[in-house]
Order: sequence, then structure tokens, then C-alpha cells
Amino acid sequence: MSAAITHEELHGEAHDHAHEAHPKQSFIYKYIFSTDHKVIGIQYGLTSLVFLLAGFFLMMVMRWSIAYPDKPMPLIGAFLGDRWAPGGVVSPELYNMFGAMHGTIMVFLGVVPLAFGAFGNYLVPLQIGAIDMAFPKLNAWSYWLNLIGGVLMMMSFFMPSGAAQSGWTNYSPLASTTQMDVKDVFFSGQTQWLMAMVFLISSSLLGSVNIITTIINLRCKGMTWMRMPFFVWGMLVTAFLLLLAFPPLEVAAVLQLFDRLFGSSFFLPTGLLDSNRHLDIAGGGSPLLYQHLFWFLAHPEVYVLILPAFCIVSDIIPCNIRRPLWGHKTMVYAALVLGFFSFIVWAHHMYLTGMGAVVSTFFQITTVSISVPSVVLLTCLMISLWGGSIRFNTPMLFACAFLPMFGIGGLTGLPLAFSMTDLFLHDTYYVIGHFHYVVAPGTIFALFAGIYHWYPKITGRFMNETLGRLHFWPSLICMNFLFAPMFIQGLAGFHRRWYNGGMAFEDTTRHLLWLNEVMSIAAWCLALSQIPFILNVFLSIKGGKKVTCDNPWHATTLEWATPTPPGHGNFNFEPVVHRGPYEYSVPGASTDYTPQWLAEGEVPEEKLTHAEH
Amino acid sequence: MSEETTTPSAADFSKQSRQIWLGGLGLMIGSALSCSIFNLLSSTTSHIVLGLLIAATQVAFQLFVFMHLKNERGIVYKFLVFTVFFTFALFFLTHLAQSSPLHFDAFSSK
Amino acid sequence: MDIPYTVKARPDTGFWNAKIAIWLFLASEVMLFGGLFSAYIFLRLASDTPWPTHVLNVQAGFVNTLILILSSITVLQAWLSLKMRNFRRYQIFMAATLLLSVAFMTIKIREYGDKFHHYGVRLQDGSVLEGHLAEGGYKIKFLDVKTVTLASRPNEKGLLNFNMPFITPGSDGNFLGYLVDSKPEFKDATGKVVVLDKATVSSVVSEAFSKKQPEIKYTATAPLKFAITPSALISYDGTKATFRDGTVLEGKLEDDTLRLEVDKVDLRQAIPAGEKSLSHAYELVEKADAWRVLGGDWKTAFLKQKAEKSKSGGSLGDTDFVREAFTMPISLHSEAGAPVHEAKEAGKAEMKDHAEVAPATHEEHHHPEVAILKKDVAFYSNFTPKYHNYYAIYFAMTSLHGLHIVGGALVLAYFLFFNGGLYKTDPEHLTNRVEVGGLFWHFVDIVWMIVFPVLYLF
Ligand code: HEM
Ligand SMILES: [Cu+2]
Repeated sequence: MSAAITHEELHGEAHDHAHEAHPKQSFIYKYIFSTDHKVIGIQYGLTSLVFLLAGFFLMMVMRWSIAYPDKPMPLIGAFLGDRWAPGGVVSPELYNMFGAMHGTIMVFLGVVPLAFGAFGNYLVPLQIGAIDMAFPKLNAWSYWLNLIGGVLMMMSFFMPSGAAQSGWTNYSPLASTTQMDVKDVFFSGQTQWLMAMVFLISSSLLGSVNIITTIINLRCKGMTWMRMPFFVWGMLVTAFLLLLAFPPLEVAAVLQLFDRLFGSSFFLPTGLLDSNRHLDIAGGGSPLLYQHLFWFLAHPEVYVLILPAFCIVSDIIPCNIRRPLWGHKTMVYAALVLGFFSFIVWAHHMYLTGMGAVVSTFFQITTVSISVPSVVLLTCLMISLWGGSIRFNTPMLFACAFLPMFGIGGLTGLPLAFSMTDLFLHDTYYVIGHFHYVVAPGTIFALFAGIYHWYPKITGRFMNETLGRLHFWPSLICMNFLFAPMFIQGLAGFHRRWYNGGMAFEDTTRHLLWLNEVMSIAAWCLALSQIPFILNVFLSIKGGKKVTCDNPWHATTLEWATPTPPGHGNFNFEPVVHRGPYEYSVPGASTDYTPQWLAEGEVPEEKLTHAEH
Repeated sequence: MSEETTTPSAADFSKQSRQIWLGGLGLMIGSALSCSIFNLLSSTTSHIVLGLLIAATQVAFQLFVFMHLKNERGIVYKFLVFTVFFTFALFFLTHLAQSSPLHFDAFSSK
Repeated sequence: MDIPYTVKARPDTGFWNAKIAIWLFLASEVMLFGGLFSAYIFLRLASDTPWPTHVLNVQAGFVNTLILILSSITVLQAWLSLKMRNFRRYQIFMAATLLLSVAFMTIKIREYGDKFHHYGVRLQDGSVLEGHLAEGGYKIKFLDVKTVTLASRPNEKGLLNFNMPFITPGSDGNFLGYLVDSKPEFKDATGKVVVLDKATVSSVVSEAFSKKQPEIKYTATAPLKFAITPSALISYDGTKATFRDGTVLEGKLEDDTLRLEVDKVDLRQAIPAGEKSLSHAYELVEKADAWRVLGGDWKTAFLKQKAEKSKSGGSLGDTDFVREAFTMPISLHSEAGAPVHEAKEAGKAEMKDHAEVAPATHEEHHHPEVAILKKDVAFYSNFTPKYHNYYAIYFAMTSLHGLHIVGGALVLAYFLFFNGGLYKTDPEHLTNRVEVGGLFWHFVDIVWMIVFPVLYLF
């Protein structure tokens, strides 16, 4: 590989000439149509942050409707449009539309591209000592397909029919039969949702093939399987989940497209009525088929949302406690078992569909079993903290908060695993509270932690600690005021997807309606507490404290061996790995960290290098 | 044969070429067989079983010989085994969800 | 800077990059087609209507199977030639592969075409008539149309009151395409005479949209005649037809009779679910709506033929037997066929109250033409995905498979036509590429080897 680098150096000069000749074009190829995994990672990161913000905005409008149903929304209401918010009042249709799109955007365009697309792309090749992904062009394609999917999804807001309105699950028959009396069914929000999904699925397919191949084949010298950080292992499992779970959703999307565009009845039963009128369909299909195909993806998908969070946290915690990760190997096996089981638990979302008792039992057993590896992962991280001298910088704060928050999310999931209790809890706010604890203060916090942690490597500057704390503490408090009351409401029987938060059922909901207001105010405060973060990200690029060495956190994994920021081709020397990934405070070592790339007896030196290219 | 970096000799080459033709012929005969039992057998069920057996043989042949899976290293098998397992899980569990093989007659009031 | 292991295998894993990638990709493809097959199994087992079997053209399917197997051979030969560094031989076999893929798609498309022309009509009692639409297709005919109302649908606005350009709600003027030999000359609300065309319609509609005026009324200067494809309409009744885009015609419904050249009658769905007695079932089908449409002679022919059949034993639980016993091909040339004229008379009987009678020149046709009143039709469609989930899954599977063929062929064509240079610089690299392309091609072939028996034979 060193030969490869000198080869590149030779070509470097030729490139420089090209720079002078066409400065514009090379900018485009360097930063826009780049095939460099780091640039693509950042592209993924920025776009997905924008989408996260969009999804967040939709949620804030929804929270208004929940807390103050049928009242005009101040400031924003007037702009939403006469059709959707007449007189500034959020209409039920608008609520449905925003609800569906909030879920879709957050899951498919926000968290997955950020966690897997951005972090995976940027860090996996670095951590295994590769110069790039195995297929750089495919990697760029994966980003652009994702963007096309995202743009299509956003465009559907401006179709005559409005965007999709039947939940992020897009269940048939509703999803196959609404927005059908429009002029052009193809250009309806429901159809475009499916088209966008086809693009997003193709994108993640390319991405996952690429990551797996890279991990298998491009590990540097000495990087044996068990020397790979848990981060890489987690991404490997995530990639397999995306690879094998998405195709059945693609099937569901294609079949639903057939239903909408060609009039088939894959998901439409015989004799289906719409507004008391028999639909002009052959019938004979099954709505349950859709649910099976959908959840075959969507359960693994929740592990796609959570595994990268574990990846990030498992890197940040050892680094900030200066001790090895407790049970690295155990965690790896737990992640593999988790990945396997996540494919055979999907029907726990369907207990209420009247499945046969045998199948229901099967899925209850597997669902309960899958909590074991999750608990193993969490426990390993918690035990790691034990007796460490913890360095509470902002990334570590977020990483630490992740643990109990994910814990709450995970434990509240257990009652949903049993059909007996799920009968009562299904489709209530309890469920909403449960999975939001997992994804919002869980995954999103881990993602924040990751951004704070790797920002110095990407930009050469630290993010501001004060702003970081201003971000962290209010976020933590708001998150809990926002999601904890959902459990109470859910247990009281508040149904999800109510545009008026239960006002219409006042007889039974009266005593808990006030919580809606609490949660909504918490949501808006949560929005305010993101301002320090946004400022921090942008201001620190130019104004942050400069790093003084390539490895400012004194970490052990390979990404810190690169120059700051890493250039094209990543490493200035040929990385060779000599030890496991978490060699902190090794007895007898001269420093409290022994990076993977140091040969026996070498001492880590603190120097700042720049990319050669 | 995928692993070879040295060029095979001309004899090897014509032997392999011949094998490919023969293998292809075998596949064709398989399909012909499938079609003809469709004319011979009257019952759908027995036809489905036989047809699937033939198809499975053809698929295995394609995979191991034409796609020379037999020459590949273990890692491919590892993920292919899981893939096939998940596919069959999808086949059977979705179907099982529709039918309940257990009946709790003990609890019903006659 | 080069990515390692693009050509040579990595010693410890034993793979070059693309080899791993293609197997991963194929694993994902297994899940894709696995999902489709699981949908097939699910739908077939859960179907509450008879699952069509043996309805495709087995010869065409078989020929396509042979073509694909042959292409599997040629693509392997192409790869082998590259291994031997025999470029000429490679080119020949690769070109052959591409030709075979074209042949496959051609046959496929012809098969699709047939499905579009073949129709099935389910009558109110469940009996089904299959056949081709008579001359001219199925049209909803309106005459004396005096008023045309264009819709602007000002309420169909996107979020933030913003609509995507080119994707607008409201009338688009496509209704003008259904006008029968007359000129679209109208008076607008102010009495001005205009000749409508698509451009004027769209400018008028967009003006109304911005003024929030929901409709624009036009009065025809002379009564107009329309013959409209049913799929363009969202609803119609005796005096009014509403298009999908909101345009409304007001006039008089002249004719919405469906004329079909029947080639098969299928009475399986006319037997109520749960019926156990075969003889009772035959009594029931004697009263089927199909005979009212088709005429009594066909009924006699049917009962005679099937009485034999039922003697040989068999029960309503046996789907193979039921298919045999309750369906009958209808052809004027077969011995079982009833006399031509009477069948046609029977059709006419239904049409008495209609002015127009189907032209009597049917010498060249093999199947009797019948007229089916709209009120008798419960459901009709050509043999596209709409007709039955069997056709739906057939189209879904084969079109996705076809897309794979096209995609694979494009990649192989790229290797053949644009990678000659690579052969000169790095023949092993091209060999690897062809190997990967070939692996994909074999996989597509594998899929077909399952699709073919499942859809054509079972
Ligand atoms: C961070 C703050 C967030 C808040 C305050 C929030 C709030 C909400 C609310 C109020 C609902 C609608 C409940 C209903 O009407 O039934 C909802 C639904 C949902 N949210 Fe969030 N959410 C947040 C973040 C996220 C994230 C990060 C994700 C995913 C990764 C996510 C995924 C979903 C999904 C999938 C739904 C269900 C949509 C549906 O009903 O189809 N949310 N969220
Ligand atoms: Cu789940």
C-alpha cells in the first residue's frame, strides 16, 4: 500500500496543474460529486441533519394541534396554506400528513442516513485502516439516490393531493385507496411516498454492500476480526440488516404501487367498501400480507436505528474513562445474535391481527429472547463505567445520558412483547413513548455525542464546551418532560395518531389532557435548546479552539492516526495494527493509552500533521 | 477454477467448454421434464412437488457449477445460509400466521 | 492511490472486492424475490376465488427458459474465453448472450400484449365470461352533449399554498380526445365563441385556479358526440360523465353495453361457497347469468358435456376437478359449439331496447359475440394485474425479472462495447468484471427457473 501512496504522490502534481486550469470544476468534483468516503460521509451528515430538522418542525406543528386542538396556530399557522390549515388551524388531514411524514423523514431520511450513512461512511474505512471504501463510485451513487429519494419525499408536500397521510407504516388498504380520486394517481403523495422509498431502498442497498465489502476486504495489515473496534462490528451488523431486510419492503412498495397504479388487489380484500361504495377491484388480497412485508423490514430497521448509537457510544465511553471497553468480545457476539434475531420477531407488531396462537407464541418467545443481547450490550457499557476516572466533556455527557434513556426505552418495550399486555397497549401513546425513548434521547443523543467527539478530527477544531453544556442539559430535561408523560397517557388508553390529543374523548381522557400541554411546551423548549448546537456546529468551524495534535482525545483507534483533517487516501503512512482497539491504561505503558497502530515499545507522540494531498 | 491465475491449457479449456455445454443441456432437459409431467400428471399437488424438486435441482446445479459456488471460501456460505433461512422464515411464518394448527377444544363449551 | 484487491484476491479472505459485493448483492436479491414468492404463496393459499392455473402460454415460457439457459452457457463461455485470453471468442459469445436476452424480452413483451387484449367479465351472480372485446373496444358513448364544465379545483393546493409546476389539479383537456367527428366549438359564459384545444383549456383552467373560481362552463354551439374509454371516467350516469380531471359532460348516455367475443365460460364462482353436492351445483349453474347473456344453446351444450364429466366421479373439494367441470371453452368451430346464429340471437335478445345492433358479419370470427348490459357486469378487466391477483403477481414477478434481464444485459453490453481498452491494459480485470456480470446473469436465470414452473405450470 505504501507503493500505492507514492504512486499517488506522483500524480499529485499533475492534479495541481488541473486545479489551476479549472478551479471551478475541481471544486465541484472535490466537494459535490466526490467519491471520497469522507466527503460523502459529510454530505450524508449535513443532508440528514437538515431532514432531522424538517421532521422536528413537523412534530412541533403536530404538538400544537395536540395541545390546543382547533385553535389557530400562532406565527406558523398562517403560512401552512388554506387547504391544510384554514384560518391557521391545523386540520386533521394536516396532522395525519405531518404525522406520517414526521415518522418517515425521521426514520428513513434523518436517523439512518446520519447514523449509518454519515458515521459509517466517514469512520469505518478510517477505523479499519483503509484508504477509501471498496467502491467509491457506488458510494457516491448511494448518496445521490438517497438525496433523490429525499427530494421526492419533500416534493410530495406540494402535490395537489398533499403528501402521504397514512402513517409511516403506510398500511393498506388505507394507503392503497386514499388519494385515488385525483387527476393523476402517479402524482399523488401516497404514490410518491412509494417511489421515494424505492430510491431510498436502492441507496441503502448500495451503501450496505459497500460497507460490508470494505470491512471484509480492506482491513489493513494486522486488523484481525477481533481487533476491529465494536464500532466496525456494529456497522457490519447494521449493514447486513439493511441488506437483507429492505428487499421485502421493496416488494411491499412495488406491490402497493401495482395496487395504486394498475388496479391490482394485492392488499385489498374481497368486497372492500369505500364510503359505502364497492371499489372497482377484483379483491382476494390481504392487508396482512402488507403488514408482514412491512414489518419484516421495519423491525430490523429499529436495530438499524439503535446499533449505530451503540457503536458511537462504545467508542466514546472507553476513551473518556481511560479504561478498556468491558467485554468487547461479548458485545460483538451480542450484536451478531441481535442481528440474527431481529429478522424473526417482526410479527410482534401484529399481535392484534388475529394471528394463529402458534405463531403468536413463536414471536413472543423470539421477542423476549432478543432483549437478552440488547441488555448485554447495555450492561457491558454500564460496567465499563465502573471505577473509571470519567472525563465529562460534552460527548461523554451525551454518551452517558444515552445509557439510562435507552434503558428506559428498552425496558418499557418488554410489556409490548407479550400479546396479552400488548392487546391493551398497542397503538397507544405508551408505544410512542417507548420507541421515542429509544430513538430520541437514545439514538439522537448518541449521534450528538458522535458529532461532538469526531468534530475535531473532521475540522481540526473542538466544539465549544459551554455551548455544548447549554445544549445538553436543557435537551435532557426537555426530552424527559416530553416523553415520560406519554407512558402515563398511554396506560390511560390515549390512542396514538389523535390529531386533538384525546379531546374528542373527554369523558375518559379529561384528567390527563393537561399533560398534552406539558409535553408540547417541552417539545418547543427542546427546539430552543437545539439553537446552541446549531450555532456551535457552524461557529466552531472557524472559531473553535484548534486541536494541537492528531489525537486530541488520546484515543486508541485508527481514525486518530490520520492527519487532521484526513486527506484523500486517509493515512500518511501505511497503518499496521498491533493490538486490540481499547488499550487504555495498560499496566506498564508510559501513557494511559496505547493506540492500535503503535509497534511494540513505541510511545505515542503528540503532533499535528496535515494531509499530504 | 475462479482462483486460477495461470492460464489453463488448451486441453483444459476445451474440456471445460464441453462441460458447460453438457451442463446447460442437463438444465434444458430438466425444464423439458417439468413441462412434460405437466401433461402427464393430472393432480396439481403431485405436479407442484415434482416441479419444485426439479427446479431445486436446477438451481443447485446453476449455483454450484455455473456460478462455481463450490470453489468459493466459507464467508459467502455464511451469509447465504442466513439469507436462505430468513427467506424461508418469511415463507412459512407469514403462512403460519394465517392458519392456526392448534385448537384449544378443551376450553370450548361443546 | 489505488484501492487494493480490485483484481487480485486478498490472500486471507480469498476474494477480490467485486466478488464479495456481487454475492452480497445476490443475497439481497434472494430476499427480494423471496419476498415476492412469499407474497405468491400467501395470496394463493388465502385466495377466496379460484386461482387461475395453466392459463399462460407454456410454449412461450418454455422457449424462454431454453433461451435463458442457453444465455447462461454463452456467458460462461465468454468468461472462459477471456480466461484463455481469446478475445474474439469472447466477443462472439458475449454478443450471443445479448442477442438471447433480446429474444427473451421480445417473447415476454408479446406475451404481455396478449394479456392486454384478453378480457374477463364477471356477472352479478359470479359467472365469468372471457374473451376479446368486439370491434372498436369498450366505449361509453354520450350524445347530445351541450354543456361541458371544466374544473379548476382551486382547493387542491399543496402545503404553503404552493403547487409543483406541471403537476396541477383541474381539467387538462384530454376529454377532447374522445370527441367523435365534430368540432369542439363552444360559447363561454360571456357568449363568446371559442374552439377549445388543450392549450386554451389549460390556460383557462389555470386562470380560474388563481381566481379561485372552481368551474368554467361552456355551451356547445352544436350537440356533440363522445365515445369515452371507461378508465378516463371517474363516474357516469344517464346524463352526466365525470372525468378523472374533474371535467363534466352533460348530455345523454347513448350506449355502455360491453360487447365481447366469448371464448370461455367459467361458472366456478357462481357456485356458492360451502356447496357440497355436485348435482346441486349443476342445478344452480343452470340458472347462471351467463346463459342469459350467451344463449340457451350453449347451456345445453355445456350441460351435455359436463354431465359426462360428472359421471366419472369427483367432488367440489377437488379444485382440479372443479376447474374441469365448471369451465368450458367456447368456439364456433368445436363440435361442442352451438349453432352460430342462435348464439348471436341470444345476444341480440338482450339488446332489444338498444338502437344499435352488432353488425352481423362474423364469418371470420371463431367466437360468438355477445352484448352485456352494464347492469349485469359486476366487474370486468383485461388480464392485467387488475383482473386477478394471479395476474398481478405474474406481472409483478415477470416485470421485475424482466427489469433484471434488461439491467444485466446493459451491463454486459457495456463490457462488450466499452471495455475493449481494459482488455489491453488489464485482461484479468475485464475477466473479473465479466465473471461478476455472469454471476448476476446466472442468478437471473435461476429466478426464472423457479418463476417458470410456479407461474406457468403449477
Ligand atoms: C426529538 C423529538 C421528537 C418528538 C418530540 C417526536 C414526537 C412525535 C409525535 C408527537 C408523534 C405523533 C404521535 C401520534 O400522533 O401518534 C411522533 C410519531 C412518530 N415519531 Fe417522533 N418525535 C421525535 C423524534 C423522533 C425520531 C428521532 C424518530 C425516529 C427515528 C421518530 C419517529 C417517529 C415515528 C416513526 C412516529 C410514528 C408516526 C406514525 O404514527 O406513523 N420521532 N413523534
Ligand atoms: Cu419490532
